[in-house]
Amino acid sequence: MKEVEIIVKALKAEATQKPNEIIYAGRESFTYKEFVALLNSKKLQKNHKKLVESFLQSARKMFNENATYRLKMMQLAGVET
Amino acid sequence: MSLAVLVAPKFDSATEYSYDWSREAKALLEEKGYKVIDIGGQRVSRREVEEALKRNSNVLYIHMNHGSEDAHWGSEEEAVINLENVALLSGRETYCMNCLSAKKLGVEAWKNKAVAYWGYVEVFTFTTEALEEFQEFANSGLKFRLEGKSWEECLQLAKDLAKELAQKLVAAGKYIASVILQGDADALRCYTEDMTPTSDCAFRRLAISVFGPKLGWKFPSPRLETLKLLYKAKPKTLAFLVFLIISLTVVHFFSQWQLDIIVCPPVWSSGWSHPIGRYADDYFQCWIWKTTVGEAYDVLFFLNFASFYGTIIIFAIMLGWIISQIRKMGKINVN
Repeated sequence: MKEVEIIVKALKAEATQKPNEIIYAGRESFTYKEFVALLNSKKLQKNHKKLVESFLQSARKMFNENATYRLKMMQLAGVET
Repeated sequence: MSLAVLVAPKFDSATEYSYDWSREAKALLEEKGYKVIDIGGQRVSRREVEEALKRNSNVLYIHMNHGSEDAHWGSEEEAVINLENVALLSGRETYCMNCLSAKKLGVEAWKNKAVAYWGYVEVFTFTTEALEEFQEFANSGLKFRLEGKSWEECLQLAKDLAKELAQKLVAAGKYIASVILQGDADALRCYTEDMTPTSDCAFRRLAISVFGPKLGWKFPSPRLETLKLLYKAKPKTLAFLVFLIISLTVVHFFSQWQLDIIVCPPVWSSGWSHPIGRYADDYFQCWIWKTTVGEAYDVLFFLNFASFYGTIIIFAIMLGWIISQIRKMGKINVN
C-alpha cells in the first residue's frame, strides 16, 4: 500500500470516529467526513484541489519525518508494522 | 504609549473564531502597555481602517479575518487593505492571521518598505477539534515579538511551537488537526529587510538571483495563468502582435534563403567573374516572382534588414504592452 493510501485510509477511520468536528479553510468549512471524501475524489474544483494537495503534502511530510505519526497512521489503516 | 491597530471583523462562523482569538492578541498587547485601536466584532469598512492607519502612521497593524492573495477583508464584499492602498502598510509592522495574503499583498507591502509583514502564503486552516492549539499558534508570533524577540527569531520560534503542538495533537489522537497545524506552519512567512520574499516562479527566482531581491521583485512575473487571462481580456491585440512577429520572422528567413540562392552560385560554382562584369541583369526566379538578380537582391536585402529590426521593435512593443497590462490586471484584482 502506498503511503498516501495509508494516510487517506487512516484519516477516513479518524473521520468516522469524529462526525461533529469541522475544518475551516478560508471561507469554506467541511466536516471531517466531507474533507476525507475530497482527499479521495478524482474530480476537484481548483481551490479544493489546492487544499487537498497542500494537506497531502503536509501529511506525507509528517508520515516520513514523524515516527509516532507514521505508526499511528499504519495502525489506524490496519497495516502491519 | 505604543499604539496598535487591531482589525478583527466578525461576520461568519470562521470569523467568530478569529475574533475570539483576536481578544487574546488584544490582551497581550495591553499587557505590554499598548493602547489598542480595536476595530472589529462586526463587518468593518475600508474607510474605518484607512482612517485609523492614516491617523496613526508607523504603528503596529494586526488583521485577523479572511484574506486572499491580494487583500485583507473587512466583510464578505469589502477589502480593507488591498493592492490599491497597500502603501498604508509602509513603515509599519503588519501581523496577519488570514489566508494567503503573504503571497502577493505581503510582497507588495515589503516592496513598499513595510518594516515587517507576518502572514501565510496558503489558506489558513483550522479544526474545531484543536481550537486551543490553533489559537496558540496563530498568536504566537505576536507574543514572541512582544517579548522583545526579533522577527526572525519569532518566525523560528513559531515554527518550532507548531512542531511541538502537532506532536501533542498526534499523541492525543488528533491526526487531521496535527497535519493541518503543520501545514499552517509551513505556509507561514515573515518579510523584513533581512528576510526577503521568495517565489515559486522560476522567472522571478532567476531575476532575484541575478539582480538581488529589491530589483528582482520589480520585474512583473509573466506567469502562464496571467498570460492566459491577458489573452482572454485582449485576444485581438495579443493575436495581432504575435501574428506580426511570426510574419516578420517568416519574411526574414525567406529573404535570407533567397539571398543565399543569389549568392551561392558565384561563390560555390561559377565564381565572381561574369562575361559582362555583373550579374544584376540575369534572370532570377524569386519563388513566384520573375525578376532579375539585381532587383531581387535590392528587395530581399531591404526585407532582410527591415524584418530583423521590425521583429525586435514589435517584440519590445509587445513586451511593454504585456507588462503594462499585467500591472493593470494586478491593480484591478484579477487574481
